[in-house]
Amino acid sequence: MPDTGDAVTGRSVDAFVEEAAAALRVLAGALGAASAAGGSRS
Amino acid sequence: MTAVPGDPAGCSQLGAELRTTAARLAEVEPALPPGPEADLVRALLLRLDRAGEACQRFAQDLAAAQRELRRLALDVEGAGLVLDGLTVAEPWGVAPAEVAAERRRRLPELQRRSERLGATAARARGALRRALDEGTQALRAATGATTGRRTAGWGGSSVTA
Repeated sequence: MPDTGDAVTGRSVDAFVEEAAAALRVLAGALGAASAAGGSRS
Repeated sequence: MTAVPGDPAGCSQLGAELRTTAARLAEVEPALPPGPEADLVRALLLRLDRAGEACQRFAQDLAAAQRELRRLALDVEGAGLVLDGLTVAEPWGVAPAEVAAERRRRLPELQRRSERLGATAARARGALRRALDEGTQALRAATGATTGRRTAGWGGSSVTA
């Protein structure tokens, strides 16, 4: 993570990036599951 | 330790990466059928783009503050004064009366500049914190909503990563 010059602001950056990564993982899992379900139906 | 610490280039790069990810999501979003995945993609791309913009704006403000700090340091030195953090002070030692008087005449204006600089940097950090904290909460809610819907619809264990 870049140095924001302030520990509190840095933690906000870390928290946002972690939450975004978690959301992307959830999305990838959901789309993968939906794709697999679609494939199994065809 | 500089009085205005931070890495503008790194913050700008992070902002660009967040916005690039948002742009990629914007490309796939129209192809998704209505549903929780599309909702999460929309939330993600909006929040990533806003956070990226906030990081880039902060990087600009931080770089400007650091430039102003360098100018201020030169002016402080030119006035025969010293900059300790954001405090402008007279140097130790004995100086002729007219030199000391001139230093004291310049000091208040330079101290005000220094305080304005500190306040500007603090405002920039505050704006970034607020933007990111808001984005974090919004993403947490959007992810929870998606996971919750999944849990209700599919038994839940497949999308917990």
